[in-house]
Amino acid sequence: MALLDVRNLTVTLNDEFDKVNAIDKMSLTIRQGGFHGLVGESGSGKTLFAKALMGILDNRWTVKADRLFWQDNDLLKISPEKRREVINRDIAMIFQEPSRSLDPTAQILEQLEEVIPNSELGGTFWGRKQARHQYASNLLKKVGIKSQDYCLAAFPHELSEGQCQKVSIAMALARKPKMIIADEPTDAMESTTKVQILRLLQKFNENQSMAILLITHDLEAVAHWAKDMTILYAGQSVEAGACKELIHNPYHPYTRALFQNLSQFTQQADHKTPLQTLKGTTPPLQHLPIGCRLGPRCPQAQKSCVQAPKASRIKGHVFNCHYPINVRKPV
Amino acid sequence: MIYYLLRRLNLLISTLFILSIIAFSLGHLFPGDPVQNFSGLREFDYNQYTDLQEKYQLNQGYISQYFTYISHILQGDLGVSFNSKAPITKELAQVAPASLELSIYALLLALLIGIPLGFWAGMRHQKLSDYTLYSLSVVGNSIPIFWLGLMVILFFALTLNWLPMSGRINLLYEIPEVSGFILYDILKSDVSYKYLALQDALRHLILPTITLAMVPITLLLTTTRNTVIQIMQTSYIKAAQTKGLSVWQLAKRHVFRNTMLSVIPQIAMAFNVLMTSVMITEIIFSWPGVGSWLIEAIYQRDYPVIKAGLLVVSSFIVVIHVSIDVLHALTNPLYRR
Repeated sequence: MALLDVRNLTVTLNDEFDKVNAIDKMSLTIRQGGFHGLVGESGSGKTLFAKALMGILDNRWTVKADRLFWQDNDLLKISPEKRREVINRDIAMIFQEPSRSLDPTAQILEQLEEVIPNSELGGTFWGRKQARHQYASNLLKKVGIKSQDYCLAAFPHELSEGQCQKVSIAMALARKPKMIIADEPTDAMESTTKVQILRLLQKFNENQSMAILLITHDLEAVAHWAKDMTILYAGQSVEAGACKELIHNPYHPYTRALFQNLSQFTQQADHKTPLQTLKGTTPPLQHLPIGCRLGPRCPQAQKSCVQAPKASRIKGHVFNCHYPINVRKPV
Repeated sequence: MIYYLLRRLNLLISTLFILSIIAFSLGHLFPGDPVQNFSGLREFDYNQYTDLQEKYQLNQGYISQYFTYISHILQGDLGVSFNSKAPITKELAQVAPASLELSIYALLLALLIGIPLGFWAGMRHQKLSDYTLYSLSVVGNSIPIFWLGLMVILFFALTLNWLPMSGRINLLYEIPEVSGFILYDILKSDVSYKYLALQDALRHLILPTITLAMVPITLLLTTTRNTVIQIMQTSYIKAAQTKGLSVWQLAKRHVFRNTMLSVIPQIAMAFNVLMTSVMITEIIFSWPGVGSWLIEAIYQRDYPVIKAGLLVVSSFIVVIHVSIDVLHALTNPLYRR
């Protein structure tokens, strides 16, 4: 059963002069208890997607979607306040740069406690303060922080990035959400801390069947940890499906280019061999090509690529391309 | 933290040192005999002259003159005024409470009005209330204080006849002076017309306080509003929003404290503006404070008073600045170690 089903989500930046679709008709489906990777280059709109979903974009942006289902409830039909309530209850988000996503002037204890819902505590009114403290301490234990008392009394600037990220995860867990959106949770971290954080996310994914949406540009991490993935290019969905499928049998030329790049690092390469990349660079937001945004860089592009391709599906493997590779053309 | 406090203390002492050097050098730079400028006495015979020279060590080098000057100040001896022939310390004790009283009420008014309104405007950014408050504060900030003072007198005192136009209290009421703070003195006194006098003193306070508070209010309103807007954009507020806190909870728990940390240093700036405008306000409302005392001294070329007034007012500003800095450090967890 699909936990989250987003179809044709468009996020528009309303400039003074112009309107730009920073995300153009993107679709994403996450299964119950799935571990989903959302991959794309910097500026391809991954974080924007997460923020649009959580409803924390400021009023320069407008968000539209054809379909937004959460556990088979249509979120587009209910009022924005109600939608926000549902989303805040069931989805938690972990941000990039964890130390900046914690209030610098409040102790960790205070910040953790305010997330704990009263329903989790039980007990009498006067026993609640004690219970709350205990609950916060347990949360920190769960995410693998050893000196909980020190951490609870600390301010964010006294903790390392890794610890801050663990605290963020603890906060996300406090309400027992059904899904966690992790927006580049391991950005700028040491590789050991990185593995710890990702393993933590995987543990909650497996033990408590909490769905995870891992947003990252780290292909290797996604290939290793996630089961499914969606690839974004310049705000358009490129291809989505099971990780293994996508790596071994990509339908979209962009996906192939991405993973070709990855495999080169595992093989011995000659001195000064150029890396295989697509020609050109990612287009800036002001000069997006019409139709398929990969068009000008795509080795397969033909005349019809000036129309944005519709999503096609072969056995749960979705791609947006007029001229897919590795597929016998259905006539 | 200790290190920070020591650094502030160092700043305080060195600034006071420089101020005292300036005040000291004025004694020599002002026209007339330094003996007159330091002592404030103008008519004396030859014996008195040598006595005074001895007292201020004016026949010695500048360095020992300076130290003698400092030791006199520390003993509370600032010389006497040219005009009234009264000791300056005594005159200061009469006028300083009046100014202090006025500026404290104005600052309190500015804090109580400017910060909450600025906070509200910031939280309602790009809504009607924000636009209204912000444009009002820009208008308020650009009104010159002497014009505003005259206008409120014209309107509230002369046309409507609601409030008295000058002075601290009606001359009918005789209040024994204890501290110089009039409201305190009235409450401490045991005269039969105590509450009538209190009412009258409060009515006298309204117009000058509003005039004086105008610029600090707009200053604090604008900075608070801008800080709130800035803080609402930070990622920790975005993160807190995803936790499902209501706007009120968000404002109370996260926005307020972070805003105040940036606004507290601005209070010192507002205080600077206040000290300048308090002099103008005192002149307009005939308020017997430091401002009108100093300006009168400038008119009369009363050099000892100018010298002492400069030293006292500027030292006071420096002390307030440093204490607000320390207060900021104490409330900011990033400084606490």
